[in-house]
Amino acid sequence: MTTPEFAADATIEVTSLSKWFGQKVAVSDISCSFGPGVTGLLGPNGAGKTTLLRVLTGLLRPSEGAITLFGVDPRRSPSVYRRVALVPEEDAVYPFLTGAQLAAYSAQLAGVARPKRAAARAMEAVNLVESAHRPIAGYSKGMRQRAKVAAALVGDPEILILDEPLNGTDPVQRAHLIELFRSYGAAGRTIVISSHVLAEVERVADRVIAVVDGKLAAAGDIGAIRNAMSDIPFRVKVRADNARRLGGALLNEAAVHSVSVENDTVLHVETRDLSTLGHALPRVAKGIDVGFIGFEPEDESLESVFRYLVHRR
Amino acid sequence: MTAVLAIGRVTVRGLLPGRRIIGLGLVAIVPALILFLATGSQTDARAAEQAANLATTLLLGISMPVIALILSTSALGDEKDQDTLSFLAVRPIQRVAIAGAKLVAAWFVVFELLGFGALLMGVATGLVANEWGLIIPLLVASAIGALGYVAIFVPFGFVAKRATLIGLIYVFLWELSITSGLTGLAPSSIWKITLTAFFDMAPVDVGEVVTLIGDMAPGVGGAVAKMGILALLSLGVTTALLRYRDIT
Repeated sequence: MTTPEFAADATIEVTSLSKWFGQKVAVSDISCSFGPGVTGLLGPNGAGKTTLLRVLTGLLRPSEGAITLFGVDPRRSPSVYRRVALVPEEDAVYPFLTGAQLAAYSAQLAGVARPKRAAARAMEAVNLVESAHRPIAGYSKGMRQRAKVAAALVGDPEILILDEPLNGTDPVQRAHLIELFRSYGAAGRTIVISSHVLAEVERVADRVIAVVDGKLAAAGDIGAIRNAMSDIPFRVKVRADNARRLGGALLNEAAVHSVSVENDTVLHVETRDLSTLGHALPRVAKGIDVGFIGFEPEDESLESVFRYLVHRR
Repeated sequence: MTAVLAIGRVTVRGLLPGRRIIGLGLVAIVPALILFLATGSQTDARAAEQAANLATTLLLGISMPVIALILSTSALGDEKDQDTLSFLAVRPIQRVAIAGAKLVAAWFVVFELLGFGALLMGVATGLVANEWGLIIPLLVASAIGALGYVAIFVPFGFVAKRATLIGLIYVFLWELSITSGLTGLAPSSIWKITLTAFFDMAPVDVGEVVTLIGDMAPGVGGAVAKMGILALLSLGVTTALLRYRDIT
């Protein structure tokens, strides 16, 4: 397939997948695939990313549709987990184990021949050697994240699925983990990383699948997503002592897409060029002798971007 | 096999954090302590009968189900509540192996605590009544009863949100009250089935508590067979739950 939702040499295939819990639809009719390299699963909080990843790993059963890992349904063939690892978002760790014990336990469960040696390697890979023999209960959030990553890497998985793995990590740890994930992706492994932070995904992933409200909003390389986002009209709240008069004058500006007046002192302006509007506002206000108080973007959040992408489809 | 043993080991460690083991340890030894305090200057025969009574009602009737309930519902329930079940489920291990490891680990921990209480009760009986023959029957009955309760409560801990509370209601309402009043229902009670094994082996007169088992005949073999079947059913149910239910 050549559409951006589908990867060449797919190792994970998602077909018309829906998942609902009672009346709540968490994932709605998503079809896409993941292949070697790093794919970012991008979406605001509550978009359905975690549900999608949990279905991908067989923890949740699809309500409709199907998923396969290496062509098989993991719920029917657990042996496929020899080639797959998950780093869940929540603290899925045993607080009474040390980091090294967690990794060794993970290695034993994955059927690794020398679990302790593999665990030591994995702890080294995530820079957790010094704290390897301390109980996880005393770890910081960032350390627990790295312990989970070590436990996932210990079986040398061909598919690595990570749900918000950079949450709670400091900038140094973050840079190290990003480098680690990129190296795994470059080595031909399938890495899927979810995040609600675009900049984070941009640093680690070559390809992005964006999800919002449980639906696939956009897919493709980072450049394509960026281009899509650049088309978004930003909404700005402007305060002035005569909002109606200023609104009328702003309609003559090329940077202004639309204007709506809320009351005597507040108006809302849509623009595709925030920077030009920022320069134009005081100039226009001064030209018509209106007191300009200030302005603020109303919807720069990632969520608004996703909503735009969804409506555009 | 390595994976199954590893799951068992981690489950045992997870089930025995300090505070829990102290609390349940007390529940296990209370019957023996009461025996020490209650017998006073009775004759050996009367003290032995009282010991058998206390073992029947307190140790096997209350301590056993309470200890088994709290530990067994935690075997899978804690993993679910603490989100570690996802750690376990995304592994190349058959669900039946996970279920089996959980059941065996829970039974081991329950028997470890309950067996200690049973041993103490047997020793206490030896000291106050000069009757040492209760030790083995108590240990065997504890092992059999623990198996039955573990078989019920491990899968229950996975599906129920307030498993401990509901389990306590079940124990006190069904096991201790209804099936004691309506002895025709005794064959549906883990406690009563356990008692058939204990009464069969106990070398002393257990007194009027023998009526608790209703029409069931005392016998170790029958009790072991019934609990074995229950454990196999539990293995099947737990495996199916792990396979077909969402792991959230």
